[in-house]
Amino acid sequence: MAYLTCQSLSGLPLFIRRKGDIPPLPFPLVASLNGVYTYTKTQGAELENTCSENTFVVWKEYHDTYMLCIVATDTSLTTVHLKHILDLVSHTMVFYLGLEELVNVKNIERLKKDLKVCYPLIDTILDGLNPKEDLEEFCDLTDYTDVLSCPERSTFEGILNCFAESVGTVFGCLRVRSKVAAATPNWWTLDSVELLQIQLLLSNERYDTGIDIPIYLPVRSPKIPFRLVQWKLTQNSDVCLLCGPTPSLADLEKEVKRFWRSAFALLKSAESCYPANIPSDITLDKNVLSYLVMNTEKRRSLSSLSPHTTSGDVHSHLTSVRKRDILRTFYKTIVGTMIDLPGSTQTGSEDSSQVSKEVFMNFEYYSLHALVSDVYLILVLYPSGLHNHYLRSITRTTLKILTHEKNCKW
Amino acid sequence: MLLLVRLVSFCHQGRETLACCWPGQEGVQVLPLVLPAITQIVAPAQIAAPLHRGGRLSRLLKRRAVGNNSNNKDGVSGNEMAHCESPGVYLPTEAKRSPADDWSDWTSFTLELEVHPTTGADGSSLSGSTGRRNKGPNHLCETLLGFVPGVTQSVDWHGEVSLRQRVIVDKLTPGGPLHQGFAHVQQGDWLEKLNGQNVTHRDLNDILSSINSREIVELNFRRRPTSNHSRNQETSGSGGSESSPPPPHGIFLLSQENVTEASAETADILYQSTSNATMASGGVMNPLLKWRGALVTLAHLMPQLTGSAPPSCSTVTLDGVVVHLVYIVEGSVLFLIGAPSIWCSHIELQMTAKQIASLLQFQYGSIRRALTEPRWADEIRRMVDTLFHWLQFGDGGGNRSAGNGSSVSPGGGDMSRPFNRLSNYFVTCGQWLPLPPESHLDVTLTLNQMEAIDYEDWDEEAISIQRCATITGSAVYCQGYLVASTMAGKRLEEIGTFLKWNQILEMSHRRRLSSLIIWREVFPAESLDGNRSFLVVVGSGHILLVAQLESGGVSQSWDNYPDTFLIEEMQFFLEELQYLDLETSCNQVLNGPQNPALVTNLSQIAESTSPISSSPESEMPTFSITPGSRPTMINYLSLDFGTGVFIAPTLLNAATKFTEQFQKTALTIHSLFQRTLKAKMDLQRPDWGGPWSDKSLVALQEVSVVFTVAEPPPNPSSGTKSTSVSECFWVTGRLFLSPVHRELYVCHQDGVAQDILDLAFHLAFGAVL
Repeated sequence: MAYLTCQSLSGLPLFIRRKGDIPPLPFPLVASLNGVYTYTKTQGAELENTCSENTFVVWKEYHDTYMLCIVATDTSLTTVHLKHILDLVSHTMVFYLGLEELVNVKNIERLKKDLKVCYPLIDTILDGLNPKEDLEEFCDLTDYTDVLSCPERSTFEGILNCFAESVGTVFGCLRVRSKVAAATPNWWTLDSVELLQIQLLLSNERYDTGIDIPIYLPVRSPKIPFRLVQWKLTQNSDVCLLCGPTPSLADLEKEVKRFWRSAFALLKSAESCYPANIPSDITLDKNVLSYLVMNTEKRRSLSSLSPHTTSGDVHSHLTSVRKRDILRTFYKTIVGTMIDLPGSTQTGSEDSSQVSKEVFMNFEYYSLHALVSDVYLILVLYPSGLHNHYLRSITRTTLKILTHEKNCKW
Repeated sequence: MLLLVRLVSFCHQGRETLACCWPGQEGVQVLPLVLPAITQIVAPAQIAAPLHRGGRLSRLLKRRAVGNNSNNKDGVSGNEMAHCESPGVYLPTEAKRSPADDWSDWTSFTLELEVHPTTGADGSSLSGSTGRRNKGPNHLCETLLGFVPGVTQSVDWHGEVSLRQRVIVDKLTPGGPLHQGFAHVQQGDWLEKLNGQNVTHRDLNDILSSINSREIVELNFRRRPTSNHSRNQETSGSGGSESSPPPPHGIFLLSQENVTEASAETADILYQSTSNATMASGGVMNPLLKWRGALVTLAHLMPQLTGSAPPSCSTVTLDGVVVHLVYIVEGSVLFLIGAPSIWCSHIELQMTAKQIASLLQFQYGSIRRALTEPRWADEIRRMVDTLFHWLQFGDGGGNRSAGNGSSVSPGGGDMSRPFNRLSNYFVTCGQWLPLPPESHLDVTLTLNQMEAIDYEDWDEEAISIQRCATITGSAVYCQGYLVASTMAGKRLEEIGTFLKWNQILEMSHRRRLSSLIIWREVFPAESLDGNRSFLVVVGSGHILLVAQLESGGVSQSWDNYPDTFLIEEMQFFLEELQYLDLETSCNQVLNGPQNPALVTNLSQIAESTSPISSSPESEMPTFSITPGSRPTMINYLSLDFGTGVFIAPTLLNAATKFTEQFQKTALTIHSLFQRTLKAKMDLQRPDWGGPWSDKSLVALQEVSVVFTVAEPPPNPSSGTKSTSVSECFWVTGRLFLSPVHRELYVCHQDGVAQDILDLAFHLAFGAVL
């Protein structure tokens, strides 16, 4: 599906990753790929991308020190999304190693060795091209934090704030089913890139108990590392913190037990919101097969692949994985090309009065509807055979429920 | 004017081609380009009269054959080209009348210039006069007026003798009077009058030498309209008044064949557009070619990476300008078209490049042949000009329209003409004009009769001649719209592309032709080996009759052409079409009520009081897709990829914001459908499901995009009810795969019921073809 190469601008290859069941890229091809970019650059031009019928190649340079190149063969991709993937990979490198080590390279062999720590996360990012079965999040695509809306949210927030305070940090969040259920106010002040990196890292590290690793925040603190600490509270929920060198892990553990032991029942109850990811007393139209709502102001997204708790799903021919792929493709296809995210200034500046707000796509077996309203973008998957006007009204109602219902805060 | 020039220029190469042009209404002008023996001229009255079998044209040709026998035997095309280059010999006497209106679109300006004849002023009359004599006849003009005079070049040659004598500013003398004080005189300007007296190249010197003392002369110049100036720019290289250089663009042909270490640096460049002038003047290479090595490498690299096709498009940033480059690989050569992203998106450029490539193959046999053989150079240069002008200004929308002051842009955004930008991307046969059934039947019957060579009054001579070629297909265009065809989609597409890019459709739409004849060897993609193909276009009025011929097979071997007998037959059938009142039928459809009725502007939406204006005197009734007293349909486009034609409203208010948005959206949806089609094709492949397949859009059937247009209220002062006219409108594209691949795009107002729309999709549009 994809090759990713990284080389320093001086021409030394740093690493190559590949995704999918494909042969390794022969060295001469790697050299040519990098060579064309470097050569063009010496001639005063910057090669951005090249595509053929089914292959995209995108080059991008970072921090004046290294260059990433991705070769991908998914035609539902656009160069915009591939560039986004390259950005993510670059952020990952900073996230693990810090900008200093990447920019001031003293020993290239050492750097190559150090970069190996990034491989799992880079592979996860590349996985986003063709996600694994168990991935339910959209964050790698949307850049927004996936959240879960549960009735216990405010209680969690209270506990979390006290907990964070007691261990001397302001950054903390509680995750249920890999989605953020509550976070400290300062957590949301982190850059979306950073939140995304943390989320990707956490979903990648599947230790039984938790982790404690140093990370650099690509935007806020690219040179001084933080500690990212995570504990499993239950099988499906965990709490994580960003903190300095103190307190020690043992001290932290004591605090975790102190604060979260009592919340065990609440956590269990919150977990029951999954897979609808909204409080169980909220019911959506039965035709909503899955949805993705993005709040562009708060940079969060709420989504569900099975929004109905009852198992009597008429449209069972669509598995969750299939629904996820459909929504992901829909997102990739329309956002930036046919529809603009609210508040985005990149496109649509020509004539803002003619920006599309709604897109319908009708397939043989299902229909899709995307609607921009206020600060929200909602994508909904419907069964086929319903009129667009009907879909429109369901989408509007659904959006209203998901964003204005008082039980449904996120 | 330009149209004619363009037409003529591509026709005058070698024996294969024949072109005569009589733009009606504007005086008699004849361009006997390949029939040098024609010395007679056909008066308009005669043209209007019915042609006789074995008539004028063949008599003329016979005469030519007798006179030029040796010439013909040699078959040296260069020989005849030489004739073409000096057409003064063949110019008709009648054409000497100078039709000023042909140059009416040239802007005229007047200058007053004080001239200092050297003889009087400094007394060095002797040396001055000898110097003058030595320096040739242009010297007077150079010293007195400050420019080197040139004659109108063959491109501009218009078929009349006076044109050849027009005094054109060829070069401004550095430091000369015009160069200093009147910098706005440019190369290519025409000095029409001097002191109110018409000036020709011949008598310029006499007039100038009559000036013996310091005096003020009045100079009347005329300048070609700006759309046409690209050529001047090209030859001058430094236009002087040009502001900033255009963003990088160009057409290139690269080959690594026979390129060794010892070769010159540019040995691999077989062709680069705008190269002639720039290479000569300073050897400035097109900036896009500086790193052509990378492009060549990519062309080889991409297939190896993923086993895919060669690359189709690259995007680079060059001094802050994003440039798209489209690759087309033909054998061992690499054909590249580059254009900045502010002119067109990469999808648009790819579609354009595909058309240009197929046009070059159709017209010249191969891209390589077209771009490397010197005898096509003029044609190619004009085509390149047309192409980039079209890319730059073709779209009437957005800020790009600012520069679109020209009336001759080949793909102008004016939707009321059948040459809108959109049509250039999708199906290329042309816009289909649905005629009333009986008219359509008549036209089709005529075509069939013509193809069957079912001539009514054979005479002895005609029967004895075996045909040199068989007609493999024919088509009729009226007013630039396709009205009938017997050709398969693929072939018709080639012909449509040919007619469009050579601006023949545009010309026949814009002006009434007295007569047009084009005979040209062509190279269709699907022709049998060993057979030669020819394209014959016969036109008069607004009708074009097109036939494709193929030699070989049962037809006689090919030694003498153009086949004048055939051309005359075609002219006869053209007469017949005229007789059938095809033009009137077309006009009725074009000028009659819109069917289906369309919303013409936004205020109509707002003021719900304006019903469909049904003109009672019209024979054809208006129908509306949706019930109600007013139309809700805004625009539609039906693309039939089986026959290669498209149907769109013939008249549309181009000023509405919808048009551009509709086209953009349709293009986006179209590219989605392309992916669907590709996915469906991949499904059939045995290796489907492999890591490279994309199945996400395989079942896509319909895409709708909803837009909100906030139009300022029509009358801000009047009334409070229409304070904000904010209307939703939908662009819906639907993909049909059976019986043939069709795509239908509809732009309609919000609130149209789905079932009505469905009905429209299934009935009204499905039944048109």
